[in-house]
Amino acid sequence: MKKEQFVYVTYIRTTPAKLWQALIQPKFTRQFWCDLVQESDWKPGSPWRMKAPNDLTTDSGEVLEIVPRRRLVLKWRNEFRPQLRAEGYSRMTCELEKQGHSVKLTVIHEMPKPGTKFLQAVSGGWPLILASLKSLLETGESLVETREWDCE
Amino acid sequence: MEKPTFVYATYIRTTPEKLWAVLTSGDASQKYWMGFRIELEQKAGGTIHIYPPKGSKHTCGDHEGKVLECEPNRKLVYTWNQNDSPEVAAKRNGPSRVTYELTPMGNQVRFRLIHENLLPDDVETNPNVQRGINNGWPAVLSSLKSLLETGEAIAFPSPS
Repeated sequence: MKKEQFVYVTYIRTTPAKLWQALIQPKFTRQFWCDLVQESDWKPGSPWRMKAPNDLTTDSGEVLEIVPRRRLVLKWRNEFRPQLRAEGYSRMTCELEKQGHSVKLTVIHEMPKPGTKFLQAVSGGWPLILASLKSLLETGESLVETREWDCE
Repeated sequence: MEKPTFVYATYIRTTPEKLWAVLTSGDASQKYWMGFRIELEQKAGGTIHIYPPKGSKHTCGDHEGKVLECEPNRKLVYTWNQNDSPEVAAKRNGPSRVTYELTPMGNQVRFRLIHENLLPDDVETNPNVQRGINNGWPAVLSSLKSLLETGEAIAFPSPS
């Protein structure tokens, strides 16, 4: 069966180093990613998880590839919605490429089979999260709607 | 035959009125759209032109189309005639169609773009080049968001 992909590209006026930091470090992800933080030691093969403020594990998986400031590939499964969890693991690739005074950020989230609820959910979520990340890096303020965890 | 559709959403800290003004202004579009100038009659049946910057090497520009729907601050639908090579033009079944949707959400606006009735030729599968509908729109709309939120559009390196 054919895999299904969600691809989103945005350009952010920042440096690859600052964008990388914002994608990884809890003090930034809390601001643009609904108060979530990631836990990992960020080495290939290491476990990875996302955690809500109440310690709920929302998503988990493994670091597949990591090239700081350039590329991150995660094996990723939703953990808190049983229907999505049952669909199994996705693959998420983040690529950062310096272009002039900006960075081109590409997020590719893919599932091995078409028609999953998981891919539908992330396709709705990523544009808001990445718009808020861009606002945070360019203006110092994330979008209000992404500052709190309210998805339970 | 497959008729691809390109959909893109972004969220901008602004009002629908300010976003609409920037989307429909030639002076603003020259800032966020890599120098391209949009000229638009804000009524159904009106015309829309998108002129490439003077002296540019762009060959993809100079689009002309017709406004199909115009609801200021909410929705704009227009047709988009490409400057196709004869081989590509022969495959087209009418012009493609672009829809802008503006939806207020708290102190931000969700902007959704839908570009329909495309050809597989319009979509570039190599992510490392600027050509293709799927590579062009994200750059233009990222720049639009920067212009509204920071007062400055994104300065893209010139195509070599």
